[in-house]
Amino acid sequence: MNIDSGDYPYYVSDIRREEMLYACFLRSHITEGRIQSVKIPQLPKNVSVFSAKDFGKKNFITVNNLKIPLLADKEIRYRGEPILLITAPSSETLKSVCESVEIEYKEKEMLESIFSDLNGKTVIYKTSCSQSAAGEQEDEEAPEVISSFNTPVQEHFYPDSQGVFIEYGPSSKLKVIVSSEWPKHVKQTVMNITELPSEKVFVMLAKSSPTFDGKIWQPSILAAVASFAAINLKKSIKLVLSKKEDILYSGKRAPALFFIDACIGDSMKLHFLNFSFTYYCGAYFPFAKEMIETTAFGAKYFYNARSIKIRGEACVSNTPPTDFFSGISLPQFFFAAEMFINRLAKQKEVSPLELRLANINHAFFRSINYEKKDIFPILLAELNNRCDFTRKHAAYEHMRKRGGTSFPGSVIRGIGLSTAFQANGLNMHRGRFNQSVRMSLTPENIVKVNVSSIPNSKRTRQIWKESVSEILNLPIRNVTISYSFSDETASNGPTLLSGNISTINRLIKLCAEEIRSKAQTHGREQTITVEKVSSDLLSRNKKKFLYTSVTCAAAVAEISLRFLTMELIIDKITVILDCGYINNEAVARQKIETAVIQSILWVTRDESYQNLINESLFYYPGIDRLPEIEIIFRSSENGFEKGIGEIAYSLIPAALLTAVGQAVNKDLKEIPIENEKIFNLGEVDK
Amino acid sequence: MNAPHENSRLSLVFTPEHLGEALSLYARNPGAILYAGGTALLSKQSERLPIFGAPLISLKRVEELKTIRRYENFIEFGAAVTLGDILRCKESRFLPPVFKTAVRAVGTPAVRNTATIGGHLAVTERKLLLLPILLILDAAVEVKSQTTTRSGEIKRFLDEKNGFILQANEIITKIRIPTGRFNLWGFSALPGSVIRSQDFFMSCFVARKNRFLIEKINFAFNIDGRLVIRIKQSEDRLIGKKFPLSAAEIREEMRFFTSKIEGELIAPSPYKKERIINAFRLILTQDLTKSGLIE
Amino acid sequence: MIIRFTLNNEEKTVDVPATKRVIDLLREDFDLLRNKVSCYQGACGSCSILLDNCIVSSCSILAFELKGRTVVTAEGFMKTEEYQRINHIFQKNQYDPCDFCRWGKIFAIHEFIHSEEHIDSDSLTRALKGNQCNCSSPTLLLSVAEQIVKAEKKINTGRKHERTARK
Repeated sequence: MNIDSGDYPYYVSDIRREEMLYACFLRSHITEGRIQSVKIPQLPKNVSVFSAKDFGKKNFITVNNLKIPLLADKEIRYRGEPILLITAPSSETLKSVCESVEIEYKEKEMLESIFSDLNGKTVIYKTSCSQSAAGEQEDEEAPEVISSFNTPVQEHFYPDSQGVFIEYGPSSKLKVIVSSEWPKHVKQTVMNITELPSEKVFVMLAKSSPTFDGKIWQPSILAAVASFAAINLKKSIKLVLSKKEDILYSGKRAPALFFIDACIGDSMKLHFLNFSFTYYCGAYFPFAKEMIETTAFGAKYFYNARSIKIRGEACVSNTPPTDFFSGISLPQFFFAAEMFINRLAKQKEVSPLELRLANINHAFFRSINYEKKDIFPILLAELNNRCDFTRKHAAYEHMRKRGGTSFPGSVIRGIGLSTAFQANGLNMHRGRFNQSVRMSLTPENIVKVNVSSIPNSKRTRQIWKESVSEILNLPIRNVTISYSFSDETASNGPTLLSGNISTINRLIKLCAEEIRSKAQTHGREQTITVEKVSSDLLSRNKKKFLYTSVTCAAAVAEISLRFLTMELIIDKITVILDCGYINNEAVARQKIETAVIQSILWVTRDESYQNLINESLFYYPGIDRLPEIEIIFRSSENGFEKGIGEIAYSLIPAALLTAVGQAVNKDLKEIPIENEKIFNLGEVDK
Repeated sequence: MNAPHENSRLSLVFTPEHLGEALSLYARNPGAILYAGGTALLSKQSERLPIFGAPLISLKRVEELKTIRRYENFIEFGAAVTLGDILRCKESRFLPPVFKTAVRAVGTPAVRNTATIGGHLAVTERKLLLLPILLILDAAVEVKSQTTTRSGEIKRFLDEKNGFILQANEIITKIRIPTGRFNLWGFSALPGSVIRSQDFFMSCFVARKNRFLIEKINFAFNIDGRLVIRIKQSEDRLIGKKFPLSAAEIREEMRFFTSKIEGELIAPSPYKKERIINAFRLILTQDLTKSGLIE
Repeated sequence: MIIRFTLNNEEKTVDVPATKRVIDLLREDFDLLRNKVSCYQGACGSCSILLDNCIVSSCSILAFELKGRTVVTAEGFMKTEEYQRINHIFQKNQYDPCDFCRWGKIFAIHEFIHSEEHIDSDSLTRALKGNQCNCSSPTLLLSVAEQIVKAEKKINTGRKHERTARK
């Protein structure tokens, strides 16, 4: 009997089949060390245990040329690293088998925090570059402001857990049901480990909650181990991480440490700006290069200075592997950079808004903006108008300098500003990963659209259908969308500075326009099929992506500290975006609102591993605890879609922490910030 | 008598329908766990199939524990009445507004439809939101075992850390909430923002004012759900005083209160101690002409 | 343990461990999969059902508590006219919560409709706060909930007047 939620796609956790086996990992209890012995008791019937030895030479997956082990063999690199895969007919049996396995370890001595041994770290990727304005000599000036900033891990809230279901069919055919942003990689991984040909491995996308991101390659690991077990046991396998496992051990945003120093002249222009940063990528991170280069890109192009030096590295740490999260590494970069600019403004007693206007690299943003306008002055002027930023900032600065307030029952306020960008396609011409769309129009006027990327909401699919329907002048019900991960489909692996959905939007429109043109020329008696890939969106010389889109944005956070109740209240967050063409404002608004709220959690919640173990794993603020969020779109009918889902992560943390720092009259440098920390900062005059 | 039901992994579950049956079961199974709403018990369980390690005695079907009665000077709830039922019952309009406001602030609607007022009092690891409210209202409680019945104001059942003490095999059976005693109240439960609940802090007061003079005032605080603070001497010092207090009077009362807090209180941290002191200051600076949420 | 209860208007009997969580009982023994489970702590609202017409977190209710009671899950509620009206307003406002929080929100709105609370943003916020999900706009949720509650209360008042008139 097949059980599922009744309509495809379904959630892995909803799937049940007769004769299927449940699977789980047995994970390491130590952080770093070696496995001395593994004692497995007499196993009940239909229970199997797989170790690294059983996988042999196939005990790894390859992601971006990095080999990541499936199960730990002798060495443990992080707490929670999987050591065994156990399968059983029920989840209760799984649990009791896990409890009866004995593993002896030899544990290595631990450091207190990942930031405490900067010399002993293992660097996996490095970059450095410097640039000076033409004709300028490098200054010998001493830096005026030197600051360091830390960001911790980040996890997004999402209600479902990662999982995979492998349906074992006749002739060893496998149907792999998994929620993944990279189904082509899942298929390739399963084919490698099972040695099955392409036609015997069929990947189907499971449903997942809309905010289930940042788990780019981990579904492939789950699919790999589960499919290996399925082939060996000749049974269907369901492997779903528990919520605790998912939160503790699945990929997080990499913590970072930044050092920034700068010198500024009388005209508020930066003379030099030096960035030095380290990312702690966990035990494995196949995209270290992309992450470092993204930060370096931001550092190089966002602000102007006579000279900019950048040194960055990614290193491993004995924590669970990190992953690509929204914005890749721009949120960490913008937190540090925007905090720094605000601090510089405070030190030099100039307006943070004016300092930005003087130093943002307007020429760069003008060159890649289809309107060819200086966008940030427009955004900042509008934001200033809406929030009354200049006046409030000056007033709160005055209060800060006066030393707070001397009467009880008072409220101290703070306001913080930040700017950021989110981009798509800037390096598309170098990309090894591409999107693809195949579209067919049948003589019966049915349009089948086959895409390589997975939309994160039903609304996105609807937008695609509406787009096709409008261009081909057909009812929406004639349009079907499906996903294809066959060998012929281009890989849809994560692109640098992502924006998969807007690329697909563009490809769909191109396909539809070409079909319309062919139909007009050749008629509709035969099926017309058109396929487009991302490289079709390059210029003739293949050196430029024609639909490079950069979303520029700014945000203001307003907070108050209430002394009688000793709490921080986030009064309002205002975000303004230059976002091109918006298909659906309600959907766009929802995306940004939820990203703002997730960002606030990153700033205000301690998501260190230890805390996640101890605290409720599930906190997401109920509707009664949310601040006012205003979102202003600067959109254009003549533009095209730009990415908007990630930019809040880059904007909100610095704006919020700056506001808090102003209110407590302290230079804050790291998140999270909690009530007790704020009121213990010692500079608060009650 | 209902036969027990066996959980395949371990404990028995008893579902008595009458109080006598429940008390008798508890006397014969002294290590049993009383199960009312189960919200606090289950929040500690991470297993899909909860493991209790002892028999359960469910109080949900005990008729005598589900009654709601209104008397002239108080309303009496059976200990197994849920917080949701308290808000929905027709007697709720006679309840002290501070109590209703506090009940509405407990958890979510789903939690309130499951959690019981008796269970709320009996939870030992955490001092939940309603305990300070019941304390300041001079609420009374009845507890029974198979052989004894005790009743009295809740404060008599609390230990020095304000934890509810039950003797062997006792069950809370009734909670009585006085009505009409106080004409002013204030309540505040934090956090009010998106910052995490580990900063939970609650303050509340009730007062009876006769023209300008305070005839009686009770106040209490709850920190992190672990500590309930009530300084009776501070309350007594305010009786007979005229509100609003003068600046000198406020200073004097603050000094006394702070000395009590510093002397007797095992506060988790300076921040939390400061919160209590500020909350007391907030009560003192109210002009006590109207009731509502303390802001 | 044998438990008899009413599930989506049908009498049911089931033999399960007494302390099995109701959400697992509904999903595994009755294949009712529309209610999801996530936190197992009663915090997120994904497993919300109606028990004797009151919203509860079914991960925090144990099987033995169902004896003689009435349970309505997502599947049962979907057949009601009230659900059709709620869903219509959701669609009209393009409000599309995910499968994990949809039913917690719908049942919370249902509970509010049938309560005596005044309709204002504070009371609605309190009613809806038990749903932890960031799939959709909280501002839009409040607006949609207000529209639904006002419409439903009007219908209920109309029905009350009709019954009184008939008497």
